[in-house]
Amino acid sequence: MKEYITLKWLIKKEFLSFKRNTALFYSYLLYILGVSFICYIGFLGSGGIHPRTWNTLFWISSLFGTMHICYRSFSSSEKGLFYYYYTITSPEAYLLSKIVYGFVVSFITSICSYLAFSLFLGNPVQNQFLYLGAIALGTGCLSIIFTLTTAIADKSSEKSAMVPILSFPTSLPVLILSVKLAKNALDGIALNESIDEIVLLGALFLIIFTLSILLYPFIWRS
Amino acid sequence: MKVSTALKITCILLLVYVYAAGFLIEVPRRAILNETIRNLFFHVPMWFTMITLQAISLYYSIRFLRKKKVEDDIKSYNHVTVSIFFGLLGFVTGMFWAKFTWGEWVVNDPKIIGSFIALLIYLPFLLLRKFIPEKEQRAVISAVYNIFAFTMGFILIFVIPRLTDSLHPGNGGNPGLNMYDVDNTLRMVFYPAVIGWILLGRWITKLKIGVDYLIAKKNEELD
Repeated sequence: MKEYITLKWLIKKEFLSFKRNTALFYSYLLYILGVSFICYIGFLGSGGIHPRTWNTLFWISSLFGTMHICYRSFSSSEKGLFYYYYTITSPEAYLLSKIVYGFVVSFITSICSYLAFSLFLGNPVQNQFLYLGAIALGTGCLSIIFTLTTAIADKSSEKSAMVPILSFPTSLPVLILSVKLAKNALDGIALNESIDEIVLLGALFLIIFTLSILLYPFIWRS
Repeated sequence: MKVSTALKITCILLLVYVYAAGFLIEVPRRAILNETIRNLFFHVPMWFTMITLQAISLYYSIRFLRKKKVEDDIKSYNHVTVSIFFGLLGFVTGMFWAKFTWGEWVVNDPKIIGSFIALLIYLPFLLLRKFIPEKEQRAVISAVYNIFAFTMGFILIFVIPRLTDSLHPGNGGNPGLNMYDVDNTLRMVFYPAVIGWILLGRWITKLKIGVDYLIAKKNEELD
């Protein structure tokens, strides 16, 4: 019960600091606008964009967006604060609050990115509901992976270089599955055709989640 | 005779047998494969060795996190480096095989892509160790990353390719190795080849571990 209360407060603290720093969220929005506008300029005059290209571009933009959001989770300015957390919370609650924060913010950002892409490049998606499901599952898995790898990279001397090379290859199973699921939604294929991908993504989510909860206490202590 | 000496002798005998028999025995004629089927004794065991060494390193990583002994860290690190070496060898032999059967050096195939990504997952592991100056922290962090990397690599090689059709046997519409009527002549060389290469991998790793023990002893980290 005590764990649950600390977790609640930690999550509240994450969102409170996010709310106080609204400029941060605007920076994500501006990033999305920039990316989708670059894609628009890039495909200008080429007579429309192929749905699969649209899908790939969207997932690459949300991959980088999620990376930026989770990168902030373990910022070096919190070094002093960290010792304080060390005395009052458990590592699981601390990691969980970071994951929840990363998931919610990156999901919102991905939705905004989805709207921006629809605005600039047209919306070729036929099954909107399934596509949103794919975004939710995909960003859920990605935010856990990025949070864990950022925690790992935070201990090294070259954090900014290590985060992408640690997390991009490890996030590929998730990306392969979610891009495929999103492609099914794009083509309007019936839901029972993509049950395989949904079940596998859900299983992957559980695996990554338990793994990060099991492994993080070791990073925390070192 | 000690067990390790017996294993070394077995390894040498098996590999001599594999090289002799692998190039000399009568192989079954297959439509596209022809004589390249002999690569079965050299390409496939590389991946078996890689996976085995990674599994052993996973075991030592878990043991390190439980008992915090420097020896376990050295062992797990060296198993990973040798497994990367075998992975690269498997990639090169596979490229030659692909060139002479499927017509290209690199074929668009989920299994090849998966194993390439598995290498991409393990190479940052070496970099990560370079970038963490403090020794104890380095050991813990690399053990954590090793466990995470093995899980993701396992999913990439064994789960994802099952979803799509592959040129490799055993995936999608292709038959597995057993149904591929690998007849008994091939099997008589294939299984010894797998065991021989795995033993060789272990042997190389043990030599590297020995060197690292000496260095650690000189720096007075081991007792």
